[in-house]
Amino acid sequence: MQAFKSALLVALSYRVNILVYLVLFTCFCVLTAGSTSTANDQDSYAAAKAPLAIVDRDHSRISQGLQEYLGRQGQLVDVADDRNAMQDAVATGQARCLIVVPAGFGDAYLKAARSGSEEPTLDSTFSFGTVSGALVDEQATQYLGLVRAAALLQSDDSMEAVTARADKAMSFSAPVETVPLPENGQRSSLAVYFQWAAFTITVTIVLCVGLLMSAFNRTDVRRRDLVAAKSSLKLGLQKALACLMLALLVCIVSCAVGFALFGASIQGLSPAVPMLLVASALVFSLVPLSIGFLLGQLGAGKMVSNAVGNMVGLVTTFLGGFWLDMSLMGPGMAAVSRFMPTSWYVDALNASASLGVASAATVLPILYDLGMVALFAAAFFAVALVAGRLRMRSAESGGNAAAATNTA
Amino acid sequence: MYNVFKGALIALSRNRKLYLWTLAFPLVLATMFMLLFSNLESETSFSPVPTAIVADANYDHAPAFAKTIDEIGRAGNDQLLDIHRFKNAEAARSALTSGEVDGVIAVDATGTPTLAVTPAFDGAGVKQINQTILNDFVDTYIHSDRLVADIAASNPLALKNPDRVGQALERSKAVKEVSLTHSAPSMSVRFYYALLGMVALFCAQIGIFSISETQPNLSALGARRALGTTSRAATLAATLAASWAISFACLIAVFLYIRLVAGIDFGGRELICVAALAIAALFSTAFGTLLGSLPKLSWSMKAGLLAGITCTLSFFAGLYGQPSLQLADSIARSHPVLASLNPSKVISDLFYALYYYDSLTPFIEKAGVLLAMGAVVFALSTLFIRRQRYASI
Repeated sequence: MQAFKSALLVALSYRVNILVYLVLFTCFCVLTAGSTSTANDQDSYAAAKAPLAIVDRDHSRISQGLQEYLGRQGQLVDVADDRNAMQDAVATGQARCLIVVPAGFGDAYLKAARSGSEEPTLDSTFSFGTVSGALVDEQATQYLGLVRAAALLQSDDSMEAVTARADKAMSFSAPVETVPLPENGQRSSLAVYFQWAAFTITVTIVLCVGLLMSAFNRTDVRRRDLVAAKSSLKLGLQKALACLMLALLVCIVSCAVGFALFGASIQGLSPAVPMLLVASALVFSLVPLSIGFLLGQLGAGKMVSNAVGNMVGLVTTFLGGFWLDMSLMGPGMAAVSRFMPTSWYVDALNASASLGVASAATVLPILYDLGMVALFAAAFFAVALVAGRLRMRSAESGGNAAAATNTA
Repeated sequence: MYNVFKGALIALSRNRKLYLWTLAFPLVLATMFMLLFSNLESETSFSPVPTAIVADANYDHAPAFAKTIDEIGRAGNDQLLDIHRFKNAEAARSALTSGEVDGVIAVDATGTPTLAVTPAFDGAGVKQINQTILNDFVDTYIHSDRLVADIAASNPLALKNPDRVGQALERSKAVKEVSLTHSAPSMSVRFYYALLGMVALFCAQIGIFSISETQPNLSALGARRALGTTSRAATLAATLAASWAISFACLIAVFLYIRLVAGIDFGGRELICVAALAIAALFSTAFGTLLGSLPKLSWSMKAGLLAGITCTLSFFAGLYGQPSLQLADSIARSHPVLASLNPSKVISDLFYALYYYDSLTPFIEKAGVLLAMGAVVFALSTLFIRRQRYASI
């Protein structure tokens, strides 16, 4: 098993590169899984609370009442009454809606409501994703509408009395019934971590395999291997075993970190859940393994392997809906994502993480998804074998095609 | 010195491996962004909420509520709901669970409107927001009802004129949308700006390669060049100038692709963006000089170090999706000094400042920070690139 030992020694000589990638991207996964909030409540409706800011230049009872009401309906954010600060808040999405209450608004609004003339309006600025801004707009409109109604019907009431009536009426709320869905869509932190671990696994394994294969692809090393007593098949199998070992190591380390930090999020679920999550990661790791093998068969060097690993990792995770929710992508892109192994991997993860009782009916769909992932790996592997064969016969490698070259 | 510059320029431009990270990778990423973000703005912008209305006998006995539904469901700029009418609750709920509508509004036997929704896990929150809009609309009816009841209890004469009551409860627009920023806020452009930050850092690879071919302790070519008649300072200056030129060219190519092919808006300040790219290329050259001049590290280790540092800094600049962007923003708000130490974030903020702010002051501040960082990094690198004795007999 000399080739196997040599392959592992090659990997060991690049341990710093491999460790940097593994540690770095695992930290990304941990940070992302830790900062991504999962659904607050599985079973009942929860109102969306849009982050909003109110710049109150009026300081009347009406503006204060509005601020209190919107503060209960959303997440009030402090923004200074400064143009740069307001632009910043809106541009970064810190406040999805910023409302400016101009000076004298309260008195002017009350007067206009009672006289029947056109009421003054508040200025609102939306951040990106105008649907949140529309929600806050609607809430502000409702509050002021109620104040207007109270002012019109009770024309002798003071601003405080009008606002008090509006606040009292707004304390009532209609009950909302939640109709349960057949499937549970919630994801645990561990599932989110495993989802992002696909990026770590892809980039690190492609790097490992690429470094290993590029060492063996050196012209002098390759020529010595070709004339060696060991058959190419046995040599290849030993190299493949070393690559497989590295891939498994990367996968297991990644899984172990995930369970150590986020294992508590699947407490109370079926014991089959952690096994299925690990199985999903292990099957998925075959995909970058076969991509790395393909790059090796094509003669790619270290730099190309590194770049391709990063590109493949980014493209597959992007199209798998990691960076942006799939609901935000168009139907065309959603269709394209089904041609990515990450899409099937995420389906398997989501189904595993929300598994209730482990039975044939619940586990078989997960195995189907994992089967699709394995098929992707098999497809890349098959292409790699063909590429390797063609390369071996090419003129440059001194194969059979070279014999056909006319020499003087 | 001109010949050294010219030679370095030709040598760098012919080294195709350098363009993998500085040109190919960003172009692939920008293309991917283009495809993925094509729907982003429309999916998160407001459109009328698809709502099921159970038009049964109870609904027919609430004409005031039915009239309100018709008003807010009418096509136009103020349309709030996209109404789907069903004869019974079962059909409406079936539409709810299939995802055709986001909520079901019905009227109970007492004439009170009710709302039914499903758990919302669409990740982007659009469905949850739509459900909240429906909830607020139903609550409006109840609030009006309570207000009238409260007034009736204390002052029934106030309600003697039904037209006046109708006028009081009429829906009126109390909020006007205005623009505060130089350009309309957009989530997708920030990813492109973060991409430019990443590309600028990857361009440091050109600096690493240049300095490796100049330093006597890093390559045989560097040793031969040190024996030449051109002074070390002139050689370094010319080589780094060539490195800057190539980095700038790569950044310009990526910028033009983002601007012209992806159609990303830079606030109409493209010329100033070119200046920003020149400053970014200066920093990346200085950064590459520092990394490249580190002794006892092989070329592949330096390249690996650069890739690791770039990916980390880009993560904290918000390149890796929504979670990364939110993390970058929260760090920038809570620890602005820390965010200013991240060159990828600073470069991204250069374009952000041009896009969103009216004044150029924030841009000038960020450019100053980046120039200062470049000066510090270059000063550090002089510790390794100054004249030294590498061997002695």
